[in-house]
Amino acid sequence: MDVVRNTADPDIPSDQPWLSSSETPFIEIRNVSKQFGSFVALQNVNLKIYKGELFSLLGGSGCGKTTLLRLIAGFMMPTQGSIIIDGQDMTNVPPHLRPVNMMFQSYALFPHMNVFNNIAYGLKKEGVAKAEIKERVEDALNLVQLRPYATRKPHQLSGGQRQRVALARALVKRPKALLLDEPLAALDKKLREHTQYELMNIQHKVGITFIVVTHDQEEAMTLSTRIAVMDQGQVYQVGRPTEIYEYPNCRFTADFIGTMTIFEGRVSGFSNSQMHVQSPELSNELLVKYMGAPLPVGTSVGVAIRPEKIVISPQNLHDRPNSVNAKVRDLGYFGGVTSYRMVTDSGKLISVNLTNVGRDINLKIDWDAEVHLSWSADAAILLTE
Amino acid sequence: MFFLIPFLIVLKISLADSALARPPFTPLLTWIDAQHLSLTITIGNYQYLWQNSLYIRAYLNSLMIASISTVLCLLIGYPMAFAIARARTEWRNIMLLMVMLPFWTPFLLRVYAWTGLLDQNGLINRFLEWAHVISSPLTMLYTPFAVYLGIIYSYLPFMVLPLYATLERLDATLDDAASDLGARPRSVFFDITLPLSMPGIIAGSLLVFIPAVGEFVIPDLLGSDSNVMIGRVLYDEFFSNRDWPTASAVAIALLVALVVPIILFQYYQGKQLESS
Repeated sequence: MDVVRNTADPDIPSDQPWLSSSETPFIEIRNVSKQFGSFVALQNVNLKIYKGELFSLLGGSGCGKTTLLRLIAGFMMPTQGSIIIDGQDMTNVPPHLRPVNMMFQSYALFPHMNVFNNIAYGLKKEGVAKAEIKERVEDALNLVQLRPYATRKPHQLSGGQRQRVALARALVKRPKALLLDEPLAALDKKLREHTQYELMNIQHKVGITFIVVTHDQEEAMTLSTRIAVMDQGQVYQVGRPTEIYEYPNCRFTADFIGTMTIFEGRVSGFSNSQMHVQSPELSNELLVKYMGAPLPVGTSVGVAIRPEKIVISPQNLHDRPNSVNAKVRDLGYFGGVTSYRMVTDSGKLISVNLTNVGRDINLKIDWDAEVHLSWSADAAILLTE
Repeated sequence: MFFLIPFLIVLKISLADSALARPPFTPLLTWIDAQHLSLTITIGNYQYLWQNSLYIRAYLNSLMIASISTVLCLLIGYPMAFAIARARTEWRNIMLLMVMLPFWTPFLLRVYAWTGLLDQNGLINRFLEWAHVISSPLTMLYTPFAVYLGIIYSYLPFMVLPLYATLERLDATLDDAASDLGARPRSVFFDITLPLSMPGIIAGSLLVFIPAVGEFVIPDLLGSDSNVMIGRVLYDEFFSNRDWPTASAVAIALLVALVVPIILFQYYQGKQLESS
């Protein structure tokens, strides 16, 4: 299979099918809009999700991510646009006839049925033979390591066990895609981390396409092959976790994912694949590595820098580009890293992270310390939108 | 205590003998002389109930009418409660108000109003004749039909309200989950909604069944003399015959017949509490 794909498009790695124009998406969202009365929940959303992906819809509450998931499941119909699953238009197909299954945020286990019957329910509705139901439910129970709990009722299980029953109940149907609505939100922190990896392992084992809705960016970063960043019913960026983090394409993504310091300014020139930017928030010039066609002088842009990419220098750098003098205003000690909020003379706040390499009881840079900050041209990101 | 004292008094009367006195029954405790107190318990009243087919028929008749009425109330009330629970919030309160509206007029008056509707010259017959559905008036008043109608009309809210309370609390995502797993809307109802609304069905059924068994006003105003319900027997014994002990025995026997479903209900509720 790989050979065939490589001859078709030799530069495309097999784990990134979205880069190929000849690869057909497994699930396609085409121009989908959804309105509730006058409220626009989704606005012209286009997504292509490929087979075997673990695709995350990431955004704050009310961004439309859950609405999109419910549209794919079939609990509602889009106001506009179409949803294609495995080559078939599913836009107006009711949920019980769709080849996808959902794991609900509240798990939605049937309280009057025991674990076995909860998991078997979908197979019974499908008309699967009794012996096969028993076999498949037991396989599913083994997969989520709940074999001894088959006869328990949902209220006799812990939160983590319920989550696994919900997962088994959705997986046992062997859906073409599994939709997970905030799968880990109801678990406590330690269990959440553990379950994250378990979820990835299970996805790897069964090879089913997962679509995960989450508001937790760390969760999305760890789990996903790709992430769609959403806000106000729109998809802002789709990309691998590293792409989203290192190459945000707009101010929203840059600001939403992780921490970012953004200098607002105007383009002042271009040389050596670097855009020159003047910002009223910074006395020195800003240089940003830029591979595209140069932007005209005067274009208003944002220059964004991640806190871990800023270097704290011992000596004053004076008027070197990409540097500034600042003073520590706040600091947060997190063990592995110390997170600073520095303030410049112009009053601009800059976030800087420092990895605690040594084992010093006292921080080298403490409250009110005077520091010199700098960063390289390829550490900064130019934002036009 | 509030419930127990009247019950104990009735129990006491049921164990006495009737007498031409005021009150019309013999005392249980009598002083024979200064040292001896005599306790006389008469079980004849209960034996009399058992031996006389009038009472047994009245009991069975009452139980049958109450059972059928309860099932009919459930069949009519469930869709109503379901519709209210699934209606939009702004409609819900209006619909609930409409269910409770009849309570604002006295019960007796409402039942009496049905005689005007069901009469040979009543509104319903006149309407049907006018619409040429029938050529001669139907006999509806003083029939079992009228009794069922009256009981269902009067007790329907007692079925709808507890059912509504249960259905309204059901988690709608369970329905979504079932349909997501491949259940048609019909299966979603029978697999998920119906079993989970069982506590409401039981509460509503008991609230209809228990008062319907002892109902007096409705069969008296709308029913015929040929199928007597136990409430009527009770009334006659008490006020026409002035046989208080027999009347009390009738009441106690009725109570015992009703205590069984109440205990079942309590047991079921206890089990429900345990599991949630």
